[in-house]
Amino acid sequence: MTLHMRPIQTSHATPPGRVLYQSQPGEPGREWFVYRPASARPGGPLLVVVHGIACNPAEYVFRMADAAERRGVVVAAPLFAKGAYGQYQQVIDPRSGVRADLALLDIITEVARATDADDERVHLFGVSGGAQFAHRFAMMHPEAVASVGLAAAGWYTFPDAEQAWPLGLAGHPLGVEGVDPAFLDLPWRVFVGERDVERDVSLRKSDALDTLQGRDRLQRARAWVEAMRARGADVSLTLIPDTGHALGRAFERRALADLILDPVAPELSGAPLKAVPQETRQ
Amino acid sequence: MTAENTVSATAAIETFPASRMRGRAGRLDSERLAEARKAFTTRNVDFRQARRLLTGVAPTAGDLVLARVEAVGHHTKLELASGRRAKLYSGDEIVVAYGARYAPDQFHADVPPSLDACDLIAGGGLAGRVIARHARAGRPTRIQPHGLLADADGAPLNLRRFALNCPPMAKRAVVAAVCGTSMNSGKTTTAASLVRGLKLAGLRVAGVKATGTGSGGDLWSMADAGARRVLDFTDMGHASTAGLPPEEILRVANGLIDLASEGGADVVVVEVADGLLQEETAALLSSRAFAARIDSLFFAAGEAMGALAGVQWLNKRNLPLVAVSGLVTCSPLGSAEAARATGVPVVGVEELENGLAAKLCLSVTDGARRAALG
Repeated sequence: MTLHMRPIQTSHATPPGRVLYQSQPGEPGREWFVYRPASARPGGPLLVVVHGIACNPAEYVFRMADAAERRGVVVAAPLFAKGAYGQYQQVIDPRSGVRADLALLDIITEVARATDADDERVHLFGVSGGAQFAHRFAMMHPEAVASVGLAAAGWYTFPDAEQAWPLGLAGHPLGVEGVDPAFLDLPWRVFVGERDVERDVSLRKSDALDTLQGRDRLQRARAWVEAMRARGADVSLTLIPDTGHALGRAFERRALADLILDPVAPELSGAPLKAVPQETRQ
Repeated sequence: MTAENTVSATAAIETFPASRMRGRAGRLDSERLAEARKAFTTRNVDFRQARRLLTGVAPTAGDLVLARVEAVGHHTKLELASGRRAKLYSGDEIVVAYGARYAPDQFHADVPPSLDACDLIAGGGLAGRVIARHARAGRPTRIQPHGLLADADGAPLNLRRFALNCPPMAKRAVVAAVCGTSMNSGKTTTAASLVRGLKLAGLRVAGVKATGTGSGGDLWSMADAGARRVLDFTDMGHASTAGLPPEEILRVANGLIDLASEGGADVVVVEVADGLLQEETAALLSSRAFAARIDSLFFAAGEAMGALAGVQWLNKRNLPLVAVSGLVTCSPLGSAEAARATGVPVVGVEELENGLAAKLCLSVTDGARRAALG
């Protein structure tokens, strides 16, 4: 069946209080879902949530909307369709060279323009494959990032100048200047289900990877956090109880949205920022 | 103890001074009621309240009637409350609701003025009097009413008594409505595809059939596609919506959206029955209050010409039309014609289920979008 459709472009301002889909032309096209709280103020924070291979950006925006409304935080979630962006998890698709980082920078600019949110530095949160993207994006563009949250990444790029990209930073596709060490100065938070220990089909597996990072997402998260701390980075690790790799229910049972947004902005009632412990169970 | 076992078997015959007509409230045999097949339209009824059998009155829409199948015709099966479609035999006793029907592909029927023999006008369980029928529709299944079910005081049991309570305005869900050129233009398929696509996008979806004739088919279709909750106008106390005044149609539609939003649905998919030229459908879609409730509108068309006429009709009313769908999308040529003629995206089942549902339901629908579409 043939689709007869022209792209729907963004309007001048994003109306508040609704989850919306917007897009812009580009190569590939830029697509995202956004929620602009009615409570948002000009220059307020922007949280970008990046989906995993489930390709469910709208779901994350819906799950974040209430908590975002209580804090006046604009939430945007890019859509990185596999057909257009390939292995966006690695930021630059190794086959096509398509750069998801440039797409996200475009999206941030447009969302900030249409919502009056702060686009100088955004808060970045990624889930699973989106967490892979998020930490690699922050390594490449630390100047664009205010904080980074990573949930259940399958594997990581370690802050290791000797290890080849994408396991480490050597031979980065953008060259040695492609990685700014300022990423080590960002506040990082890592989340993983304490039962996320299955070696499921979506988990990348190899002897080398298992040896370097661990056999499952829990082990790999701990190994990466240790490596980042060894380089002096401020990284917290939060284990989500009774949770495997599926984080959807954690949004309901564990108020994951609040956990993600607490450090981004306080509730508008005046609730203070909550301190994030170095390793904790939520 | 079953509900039916509590029905009184000893009530004496008495005169019932109903406001609309004098009637006689007689004994209702509890075992007889227990054995009667109860139609889909009666699924919210508390049959423990049925204590008498009322005769000699004029039925009104929504009244429950105990009837005997005289001759099986067009409808050979009756959809039960469970959704099972039970084969009908002459002599079966059934409980259905009176109602009117407007179905261009089947029957045009009204509520008869008496409890004389009448017709089974819908498989979901509607009793009525056929005024006209489609050339391909067979003679209706003929039923003989025994009487209206009534409570201990002799007051007839009507579906309105068992309507669900509408909650106070729940958290506002996104509302995606589906309407079409006519009956059988692909509205139900479009609605199911939307539900499926939204669910696959990770969203919580509820389904509503706002108008039409009481039958579970459309609801089961949305439930099968992944809707967490499905509701129709029978939940608001109507066996059908044919002939209801516009203000009641609006109350029903908005009440169903509120009910469906309960429990945290992200999106409510609302199917509006029949075509744009049907009186109640036209009234609902012309209502500013309804337009204010819907965020996106899908138009299911049978073919390209119908798509064009429908798009023009909807645009005149400034409705948030986002796509043409339906039977026309089965034809690549028809799809291309419709897209050229309307300037509106034409989308089929596959596109809706594989990513477009969420995009379209959540797309901006203001003047900028129209400008972008050219």
